[in-house]
Amino acid sequence: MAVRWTLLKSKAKELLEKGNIRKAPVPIEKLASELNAIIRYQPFDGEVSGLVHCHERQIIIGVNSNHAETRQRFTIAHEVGHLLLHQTKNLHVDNLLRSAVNFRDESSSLGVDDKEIEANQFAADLLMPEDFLLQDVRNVSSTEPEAAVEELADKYRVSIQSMAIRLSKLGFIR
Amino acid sequence: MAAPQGKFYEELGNRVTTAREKKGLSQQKLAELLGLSRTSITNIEKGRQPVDVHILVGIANTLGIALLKLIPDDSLFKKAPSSLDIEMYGDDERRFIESILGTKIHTKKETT
Repeated sequence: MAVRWTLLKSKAKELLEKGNIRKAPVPIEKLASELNAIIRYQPFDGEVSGLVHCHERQIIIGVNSNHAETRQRFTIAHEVGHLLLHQTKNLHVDNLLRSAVNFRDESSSLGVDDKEIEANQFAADLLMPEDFLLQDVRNVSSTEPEAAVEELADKYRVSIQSMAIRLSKLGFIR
Repeated sequence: MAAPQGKFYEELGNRVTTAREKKGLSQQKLAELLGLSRTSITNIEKGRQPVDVHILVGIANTLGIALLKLIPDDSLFKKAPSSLDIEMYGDDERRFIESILGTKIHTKKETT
């Protein structure tokens, strides 16, 4: 089964609407707590970026606080994606080096890699919503393309790389 | 508005949405074909309404998908195991998990 692009977009939109979020930066911690997730920060050396753990009714999102703030925000959004989109049984850990460390998951119709792609795309849809960008791209004050990407990254509190990828995927830059 | 029914119905709803979009049907159209209101379809897809079995069969047939493909794994309503099955994680990951969850994690080998 393929990545469910339209579902990702509508789930992100739904969450933003529920939280009444209309402009950047998206308060990702607030949105996560509205889903009853508890966010815990731990400094950690290594490439593990985060995890999501569900036990009975408790949901914990763990974030590696050694990483840059922009990356931590992306991690939370990524874990929220797993939470809303995937049958997160018990525990899911995200590690950039191993790309995805997953629990046994034979029943799922989505492969492990697809889930990571979905969670990343969901995070981008959530932190950099297309309709927000449509507005902000027009009102950007920088004239140089590179400075404009930086300005937007700053406004959205995402990394410059994330913003550049997002803008190019949406066709705002080539 | 109907209340959320938990992860099982959420996942079931996601699967209905995916199958419906694949078939190129709107919620309205699917509702008409099944003799339901569009709100019922919305509630089912959002996991806010436990779906009756005969309706689920109708959905599967209308969308041309095997009934079982719509039904999530039963682990979604089972209790999570009390100790984490952590064998697949490296040392690094285990330390991170332990520091976040505040619990000592044992591998299967250690616990038996």
